[in-house]
Amino acid sequence: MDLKPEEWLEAHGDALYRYALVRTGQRDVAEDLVQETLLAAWRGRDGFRAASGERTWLFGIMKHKIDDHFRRTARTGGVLPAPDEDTAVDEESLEFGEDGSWRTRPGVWGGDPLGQAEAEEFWQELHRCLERLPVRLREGFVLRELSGLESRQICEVLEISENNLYVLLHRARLRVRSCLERSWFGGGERP
Amino acid sequence: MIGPDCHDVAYLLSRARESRLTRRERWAVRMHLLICVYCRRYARQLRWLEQALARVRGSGRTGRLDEEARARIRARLDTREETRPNPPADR
Ligand SMILES: [Zn+2]
Repeated sequence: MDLKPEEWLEAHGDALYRYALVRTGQRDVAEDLVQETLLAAWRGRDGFRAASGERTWLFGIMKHKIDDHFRRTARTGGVLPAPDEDTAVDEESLEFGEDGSWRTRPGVWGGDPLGQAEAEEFWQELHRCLERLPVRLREGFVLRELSGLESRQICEVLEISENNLYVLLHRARLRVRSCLERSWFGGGERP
Repeated sequence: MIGPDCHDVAYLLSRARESRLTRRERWAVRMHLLICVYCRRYARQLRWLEQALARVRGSGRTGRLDEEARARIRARLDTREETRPNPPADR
């Protein structure tokens, strides 16, 4: 089989980069992780099975590289990402009352999604919102919405079932929604 | 039968983006949206978010590798043939 790392860089480089950037929060680190991932993929190319798809395979490697990165920085006194402490609480009960109604009612947002000039600024806000998510939710959300993987591919990378993923994305979207409503739209209605 | 509540509908609106809902689910969502302004807003917000994220993905600096980084990585990949298994990390 003819595998070309340069083509991986063209086809998947941006998507891998966005994933690494949101997980690590540092551009230079994210860039290095893309490079490490592509090199590791090249060295491990014998393990590539066309069945799972190139993109899924590369993201699987990237996920390990990110985990390694955090282990490395932890050893040198860096901070580990917050553990999934609050997966124990029912996150959805933050958003909905026992009768299934909204606790914070969705407000009216501006009609127009971002102009090009706002994209950068919006990213900062979004990033802050994503940092508050438990790692699991953040990972699923970023792989889906920023890296553009399909559900099936994300399930393979994270090794979870489709139903798990649906719940995870649902929770992430709820939290991102209410976070953005507060920070970007400056509002939200209380019942 | 009582229809789904907002919590159920919010879940279905999210899941609809991943997989096709059953006919019954689609009907239940549609009925609920007719009577619930908050879920209508949520549905609209999900669409808004989708479009905003598309903008972020396409924008420079944050959404994409910049040219300098891309060139650096490409240059490194060009020398891959000399790459031995498990070389020392770059940093
Ligand atoms: Zn509702």
